[in-house]
Amino acid sequence: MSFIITLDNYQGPFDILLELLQSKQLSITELSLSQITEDYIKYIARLELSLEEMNWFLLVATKLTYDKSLAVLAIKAEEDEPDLSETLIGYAKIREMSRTIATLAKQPLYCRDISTPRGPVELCSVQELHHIATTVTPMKQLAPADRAIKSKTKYLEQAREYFKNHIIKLRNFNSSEVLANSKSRADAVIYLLTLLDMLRNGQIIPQHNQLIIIKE
Amino acid sequence: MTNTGKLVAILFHSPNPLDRQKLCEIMQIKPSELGQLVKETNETLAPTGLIVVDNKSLLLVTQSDYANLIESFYQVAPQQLSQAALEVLSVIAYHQPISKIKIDEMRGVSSEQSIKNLLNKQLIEKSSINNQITYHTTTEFLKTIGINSLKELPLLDVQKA
Repeated sequence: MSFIITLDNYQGPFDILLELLQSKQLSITELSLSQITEDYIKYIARLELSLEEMNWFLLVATKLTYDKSLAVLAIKAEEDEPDLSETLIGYAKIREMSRTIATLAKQPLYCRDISTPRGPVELCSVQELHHIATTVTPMKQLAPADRAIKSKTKYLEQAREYFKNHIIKLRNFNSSEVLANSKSRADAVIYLLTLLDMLRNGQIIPQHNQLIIIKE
Repeated sequence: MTNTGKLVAILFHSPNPLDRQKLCEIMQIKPSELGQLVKETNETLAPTGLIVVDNKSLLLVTQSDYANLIESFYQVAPQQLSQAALEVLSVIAYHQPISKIKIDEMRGVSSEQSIKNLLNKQLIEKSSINNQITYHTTTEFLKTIGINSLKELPLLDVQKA
Protein backbone atom coordinates (compact mmCIF):
# COMPACT_ATOMS: atom_id res chain seq x y z
CA MET A 1 0.00 0.00 0.00
CA SER A 2 1.32 3.44 -0.90
CA PHE A 3 1.41 6.37 1.43
CA ILE A 4 0.93 9.97 0.47
CA ILE A 5 2.80 12.30 2.73
CA THR A 6 2.94 16.05 3.02
CA LEU A 7 6.00 17.66 4.53
CA ASP A 8 5.79 21.03 6.22
CA ASN A 9 9.55 21.41 6.36
CA TYR A 10 10.50 19.50 3.26
CA GLN A 11 14.16 19.86 2.41
CA GLY A 12 15.64 16.82 0.81
CA PRO A 13 15.51 13.07 0.30
CA PHE A 14 16.35 12.21 3.90
CA ASP A 15 13.34 14.18 5.14
CA ILE A 16 11.11 12.10 2.88
CA LEU A 17 12.63 8.86 4.11
CA LEU A 18 12.18 9.88 7.75
CA GLU A 19 8.57 10.90 7.16
CA LEU A 20 7.81 7.67 5.30
CA LEU A 21 9.31 5.63 8.12
CA GLN A 22 7.39 7.64 10.68
CA SER A 23 4.11 7.27 8.79
CA LYS A 24 4.55 3.49 8.89
CA GLN A 25 5.86 3.60 12.46
CA LEU A 26 9.09 1.93 11.44
CA SER A 27 12.47 2.46 13.06
CA ILE A 28 15.55 3.42 11.05
CA THR A 29 17.00 0.10 9.92
CA GLU A 30 18.08 -1.38 6.58
CA LEU A 31 15.04 -3.67 6.71
CA SER A 32 12.65 -0.77 7.27
CA LEU A 33 14.22 1.16 4.43
CA SER A 34 13.68 -1.73 2.04
CA GLN A 35 9.99 -1.63 3.00
CA ILE A 36 9.59 2.00 1.96
CA THR A 37 11.70 1.91 -1.20
CA GLU A 38 8.68 1.81 -3.54
CA ASP A 39 6.88 4.57 -1.69
CA TYR A 40 9.96 6.74 -1.90
CA ILE A 41 10.32 6.20 -5.64
CA LYS A 42 6.62 6.92 -6.22
CA TYR A 43 6.90 10.05 -4.12
CA ILE A 44 9.89 11.51 -5.91
CA ALA A 45 8.35 10.72 -9.31
CA ARG A 46 5.73 13.38 -8.49
CA LEU A 47 8.23 16.05 -7.47
CA GLU A 48 8.95 18.92 -9.81
CA LEU A 49 12.60 19.66 -9.26
CA SER A 50 15.53 20.99 -11.18
CA LEU A 51 17.96 18.47 -12.62
CA GLU A 52 20.52 19.30 -9.95
CA GLU A 53 18.04 18.87 -7.12
CA MET A 54 16.69 15.67 -8.60
CA ASN A 55 20.21 14.17 -8.64
CA TRP A 56 20.21 14.03 -4.87
CA PHE A 57 16.87 12.24 -4.76
CA LEU A 58 17.90 9.77 -7.44
CA LEU A 59 21.12 9.03 -5.60
CA VAL A 60 19.13 7.92 -2.58
CA ALA A 61 16.66 6.01 -4.77
CA THR A 62 19.57 4.15 -6.36
CA LYS A 63 21.04 3.30 -2.99
CA LEU A 64 17.66 2.11 -1.68
CA THR A 65 17.08 -0.07 -4.73
CA TYR A 66 20.59 -1.47 -4.58
CA ASP A 67 20.31 -2.33 -0.90
CA LYS A 68 16.91 -3.93 -1.43
CA SER A 69 18.30 -6.03 -4.29
CA LEU A 70 21.10 -7.25 -2.07
CA ALA A 71 18.58 -8.17 0.62
CA VAL A 72 16.36 -10.06 -1.83
CA LEU A 73 19.33 -11.94 -3.23
CA ALA A 74 20.69 -12.51 0.28
CA ILE A 75 24.02 -10.95 -0.70
CA LYS A 76 26.04 -9.22 1.98
CA ALA A 77 27.07 -5.65 1.20
CA GLU A 78 30.74 -4.75 0.97
CA GLU A 79 32.16 -3.53 4.27
CA ASP A 80 33.25 -0.14 2.95
CA GLU A 81 29.86 0.62 1.38
CA PRO A 82 28.05 3.48 3.14
CA ASP A 83 25.19 2.31 5.28
CA LEU A 84 22.09 4.37 4.45
CA SER A 85 20.39 3.61 7.76
CA GLU A 86 23.39 4.97 9.66
CA THR A 87 23.47 8.07 7.48
CA LEU A 88 19.75 8.54 8.15
CA ILE A 89 20.23 8.14 11.90
CA GLY A 90 22.90 10.83 11.60
CA TYR A 91 20.49 13.06 9.71
CA ALA A 92 17.78 12.57 12.34
CA LYS A 93 20.31 13.85 14.87
CA ILE A 94 21.03 16.87 12.66
CA ARG A 95 17.32 17.70 12.67
CA GLU A 96 17.35 17.40 16.45
CA MET A 97 20.40 19.68 16.61
CA SER A 98 18.73 22.25 14.36
CA ARG A 99 15.68 22.29 16.65
CA THR A 100 17.99 22.97 19.58
CA ILE A 101 19.71 25.80 17.70
CA ALA A 102 16.32 27.24 16.69
CA THR A 103 15.18 27.21 20.33
CA LEU A 104 18.38 28.88 21.49
CA ALA A 105 18.05 31.53 18.76
CA LYS A 106 14.82 32.74 20.35
CA GLN A 107 16.92 34.36 23.07
CA PRO A 108 19.88 35.97 21.33
CA LEU A 109 22.50 38.21 22.85
CA TYR A 110 22.50 41.84 21.76
CA CYS A 111 25.50 44.12 21.47
CA ARG A 112 25.62 47.87 21.10
CA ASP A 113 23.70 48.74 17.99
CA ILE A 114 25.64 51.02 15.69
CA SER A 115 22.49 51.63 13.68
CA THR A 116 20.86 53.42 16.59
CA PRO A 117 20.59 57.03 15.53
CA ARG A 118 22.91 59.15 17.65
CA GLY A 119 21.38 62.49 16.84
CA PRO A 120 18.09 64.08 15.90
CA VAL A 121 16.57 62.60 12.76
CA GLU A 122 14.62 64.05 9.90
CA LEU A 123 12.56 62.17 7.40
CA CYS A 124 12.70 62.57 3.69
CA SER A 125 11.15 60.81 0.74
CA VAL A 126 12.99 59.01 -2.01
CA GLN A 127 12.02 61.81 -4.38
CA GLU A 128 13.58 64.40 -2.09
CA LEU A 129 16.70 62.33 -1.71
CA HIS A 130 16.88 61.85 -5.45
CA HIS A 131 16.61 65.57 -5.95
CA ILE A 132 19.45 66.13 -3.49
CA ALA A 133 21.62 63.45 -5.07
CA THR A 134 21.16 64.81 -8.54
CA THR A 135 21.72 68.45 -7.60
CA VAL A 136 24.89 67.97 -5.55
CA THR A 137 26.75 67.66 -8.81
CA PRO A 138 25.38 69.15 -12.02
CA MET A 139 24.39 65.81 -13.50
CA LYS A 140 23.38 67.40 -16.76
CA GLN A 141 27.05 67.87 -17.49
CA LEU A 142 27.71 64.19 -16.83
CA ALA A 143 25.23 62.63 -19.21
CA PRO A 144 27.58 60.05 -20.77
CA ALA A 145 27.89 57.17 -18.33
CA ASP A 146 31.66 56.82 -18.69
CA ARG A 147 32.33 60.44 -17.84
CA ALA A 148 29.98 60.21 -14.94
CA ILE A 149 31.62 57.12 -13.52
CA LYS A 150 35.07 58.66 -13.90
CA SER A 151 33.83 61.56 -11.84
CA LYS A 152 32.27 59.42 -9.18
CA THR A 153 34.95 60.00 -6.56
CA LYS A 154 34.28 63.69 -6.47
CA TYR A 155 30.57 63.08 -6.61
CA LEU A 156 30.68 60.55 -3.78
CA GLU A 157 32.54 62.96 -1.55
CA GLN A 158 30.05 65.72 -2.21
CA ALA A 159 27.02 63.49 -1.84
CA ARG A 160 28.37 61.92 1.34
CA GLU A 161 29.04 65.28 2.87
CA TYR A 162 25.57 66.45 2.02
CA PHE A 163 23.96 63.35 3.51
CA LYS A 164 26.00 63.73 6.68
CA ASN A 165 24.83 67.27 7.18
CA HIS A 166 21.27 67.19 5.98
CA ILE A 167 19.65 63.81 5.67
CA ILE A 168 19.32 61.26 8.38
CA LYS A 169 16.62 58.80 7.53
CA LEU A 170 15.01 57.37 4.43
CA ARG A 171 11.59 55.85 4.30
CA ASN A 172 10.67 52.85 2.16
CA PHE A 173 13.75 52.98 -0.01
CA ASN A 174 13.05 51.31 -3.30
CA SER A 175 15.83 50.91 -5.85
CA SER A 176 13.43 50.54 -8.78
CA GLU A 177 11.77 53.79 -7.77
CA VAL A 178 15.16 55.47 -7.75
CA LEU A 179 15.92 54.13 -11.19
CA ALA A 180 12.55 55.26 -12.48
CA ASN A 181 13.19 58.76 -11.18
CA SER A 182 16.64 59.00 -12.72
CA LYS A 183 16.98 61.25 -15.72
CA SER A 184 19.79 59.21 -17.23
CA ARG A 185 21.62 55.93 -16.69
CA ALA A 186 24.63 57.81 -15.40
CA ASP A 187 22.39 59.60 -12.95
CA ALA A 188 21.02 56.29 -11.61
CA VAL A 189 24.38 54.52 -11.54
CA ILE A 190 26.13 57.22 -9.57
CA TYR A 191 23.24 57.68 -7.24
CA LEU A 192 23.19 53.98 -6.39
CA LEU A 193 27.00 53.88 -6.15
CA THR A 194 26.78 56.59 -3.53
CA LEU A 195 24.29 54.61 -1.50
CA LEU A 196 26.31 51.40 -1.83
CA ASP A 197 29.47 53.19 -0.79
CA MET A 198 27.77 54.62 2.26
CA LEU A 199 26.31 51.20 3.12
CA ARG A 200 29.78 49.67 2.90
CA ASN A 201 31.21 52.35 5.14
CA GLY A 202 28.45 51.91 7.68
CA GLN A 203 27.09 55.38 7.11
CA ILE A 204 23.78 53.91 6.04
CA ILE A 205 22.38 50.96 7.96
CA PRO A 206 19.54 48.80 6.63
CA GLN A 207 17.08 48.14 9.40
CA HIS A 208 13.75 46.42 8.81
CA ASN A 209 12.29 48.16 5.74
CA GLN A 210 14.24 51.34 6.22
CA LEU A 211 17.64 52.69 5.48
CA ILE A 212 18.95 54.76 8.33
CA ILE A 213 21.67 57.28 7.67
CA ILE A 214 23.93 57.76 10.64
CA LYS A 215 24.56 61.35 11.56
CA GLU A 216 28.11 61.74 12.80
CA MET B 1 42.72 49.88 37.14
CA THR B 2 41.95 46.17 37.16
CA ASN B 3 42.28 43.85 34.19
CA THR B 4 38.54 43.20 34.40
CA GLY B 5 37.91 46.92 34.25
CA LYS B 6 40.26 47.34 31.31
CA LEU B 7 38.62 44.49 29.41
CA VAL B 8 35.08 45.77 29.98
CA ALA B 9 36.09 49.33 29.06
CA ILE B 10 37.68 48.27 25.79
CA LEU B 11 34.83 45.93 24.86
CA PHE B 12 32.16 48.44 25.86
CA HIS B 13 33.44 50.89 23.29
CA SER B 14 33.20 48.42 20.40
CA PRO B 15 30.02 47.24 18.67
CA ASN B 16 32.13 44.64 16.83
CA PRO B 17 33.99 41.56 18.09
CA LEU B 18 37.59 42.32 19.08
CA ASP B 19 40.50 40.06 18.24
CA ARG B 20 41.85 38.06 21.21
CA GLN B 21 45.48 38.52 20.19
CA LYS B 22 45.13 42.26 19.87
CA LEU B 23 43.43 42.49 23.27
CA CYS B 24 46.27 40.53 24.86
CA GLU B 25 48.82 42.89 23.36
CA ILE B 26 47.02 46.02 24.51
CA MET B 27 46.34 44.66 27.99
CA GLN B 28 49.81 43.13 28.22
CA ILE B 29 48.60 39.71 29.29
CA LYS B 30 49.33 36.25 27.92
CA PRO B 31 46.77 34.62 25.62
CA SER B 32 46.50 31.79 28.14
CA GLU B 33 45.42 34.30 30.80
CA LEU B 34 42.66 35.82 28.71
CA GLY B 35 40.26 32.87 29.09
CA GLN B 36 40.49 33.06 32.88
CA LEU B 37 40.08 36.84 32.77
CA VAL B 38 36.91 36.47 30.67
CA LYS B 39 35.59 33.92 33.16
CA GLU B 40 36.25 36.27 36.08
CA THR B 41 34.81 39.23 34.17
CA ASN B 42 31.62 37.31 33.43
CA GLU B 43 31.26 36.47 37.12
CA THR B 44 31.61 40.17 37.92
CA LEU B 45 29.16 41.12 35.17
CA ALA B 46 26.57 38.50 36.15
CA PRO B 47 24.21 40.90 38.00
CA THR B 48 24.55 43.65 35.37
CA GLY B 49 22.70 41.98 32.49
CA LEU B 50 25.88 41.94 30.40
CA ILE B 51 28.24 39.14 29.42
CA VAL B 52 31.41 38.74 27.36
CA VAL B 53 31.11 36.37 24.40
CA ASP B 54 34.31 34.40 23.99
CA ASN B 55 35.21 32.93 20.62
CA LYS B 56 38.21 33.77 18.44
CA SER B 57 37.20 37.31 19.27
CA LEU B 58 35.49 38.90 22.25
CA LEU B 59 32.29 40.92 22.34
CA LEU B 60 30.37 42.55 25.17
CA VAL B 61 26.66 41.75 24.86
CA THR B 62 23.46 41.61 26.86
CA GLN B 63 22.62 38.33 28.58
CA SER B 64 20.09 36.09 26.83
CA ASP B 65 17.60 36.49 29.70
CA TYR B 66 17.20 40.11 28.65
CA ALA B 67 16.51 39.36 24.96
CA ASN B 68 12.74 39.86 25.24
CA LEU B 69 13.22 43.17 27.05
CA ILE B 70 15.60 44.47 24.37
CA GLU B 71 13.30 43.28 21.57
CA SER B 72 10.30 44.93 23.20
CA PHE B 73 12.06 48.23 23.89
CA TYR B 74 13.91 48.60 20.58
CA GLN B 75 11.29 46.88 18.41
CA VAL B 76 13.78 44.39 17.03
CA ALA B 77 13.33 40.69 16.37
CA PRO B 78 15.63 37.67 16.58
CA GLN B 79 17.18 36.57 13.31
CA GLN B 80 14.98 34.19 11.32
CA LEU B 81 16.65 31.24 9.63
CA SER B 82 15.19 28.69 7.24
CA GLN B 83 15.10 24.99 8.17
CA ALA B 84 17.88 24.30 5.66
CA ALA B 85 20.06 27.08 7.10
CA LEU B 86 19.45 25.83 10.63
CA GLU B 87 20.50 22.33 9.61
CA VAL B 88 23.70 23.53 7.95
CA LEU B 89 24.46 25.79 10.90
CA SER B 90 23.94 22.88 13.31
CA VAL B 91 26.21 20.59 11.35
CA ILE B 92 28.94 23.24 11.28
CA ALA B 93 28.48 24.12 14.95
CA TYR B 94 28.86 20.54 16.13
CA HIS B 95 31.41 19.33 13.59
CA GLN B 96 33.59 22.38 12.86
CA PRO B 97 35.79 22.77 10.96
CA ILE B 98 33.92 20.89 8.25
CA SER B 99 33.96 20.89 4.44
CA LYS B 100 30.97 21.49 2.16
CA ILE B 101 31.26 17.98 0.73
CA LYS B 102 30.91 16.50 4.19
CA ILE B 103 27.95 18.77 5.01
CA ASP B 104 26.19 17.75 1.77
CA GLU B 105 26.88 14.11 2.51
CA MET B 106 25.39 14.35 5.97
CA ARG B 107 22.27 16.18 4.77
CA GLY B 108 21.83 14.22 1.55
CA VAL B 109 21.33 17.43 -0.40
CA SER B 110 23.33 20.40 -1.64
CA SER B 111 24.01 23.03 1.02
CA GLU B 112 25.52 25.61 -1.29
CA GLN B 113 22.80 28.24 -1.04
CA SER B 114 22.46 27.87 2.73
CA ILE B 115 26.22 28.24 3.16
CA LYS B 116 26.15 31.41 1.06
CA ASN B 117 23.33 32.82 3.19
CA LEU B 118 25.09 31.95 6.43
CA LEU B 119 28.31 33.55 5.17
CA ASN B 120 26.38 36.69 4.26
CA LYS B 121 24.84 36.79 7.71
CA GLN B 122 28.37 36.34 9.15
CA LEU B 123 27.19 33.35 11.18
CA ILE B 124 29.94 31.21 9.64
CA GLU B 125 33.38 31.81 8.15
CA LYS B 126 35.49 29.78 5.81
CA SER B 127 39.14 28.96 6.18
CA SER B 128 41.56 26.95 4.12
CA ILE B 129 43.50 24.06 5.60
CA ASN B 130 45.77 22.07 3.27
CA ASN B 131 43.97 23.53 0.24
CA GLN B 132 40.64 22.32 1.58
CA ILE B 133 38.00 24.89 2.40
CA THR B 134 36.30 24.31 5.70
CA TYR B 135 33.64 26.24 7.61
CA HIS B 136 33.37 27.24 11.24
CA THR B 137 31.02 29.33 13.33
CA THR B 138 31.68 32.94 14.36
CA THR B 139 31.14 35.20 17.35
CA GLU B 140 28.00 36.41 15.56
CA PHE B 141 26.73 32.83 15.69
CA LEU B 142 27.20 32.68 19.45
CA LYS B 143 25.39 36.00 19.78
CA THR B 144 22.54 34.79 17.57
CA ILE B 145 21.88 31.64 19.55
CA GLY B 146 22.39 33.30 22.90
CA ILE B 147 25.46 31.51 24.26
CA ASN B 148 28.77 33.09 25.17
CA SER B 149 31.08 30.21 24.24
CA LEU B 150 31.02 27.09 22.09
CA LYS B 151 31.48 25.16 25.30
CA GLU B 152 27.90 26.13 26.13
CA LEU B 153 26.43 24.35 23.11
CA PRO B 154 23.98 21.78 24.50
CA LEU B 155 25.54 18.34 24.60
CA LEU B 156 23.98 16.00 22.10
CA ASP B 157 24.88 12.50 21.09
CA VAL B 158 26.27 13.55 17.74
CA GLN B 159 28.92 10.90 17.35
CA LYS B 160 27.03 9.28 14.51
CA ALA B 161 25.78 12.51 13.05
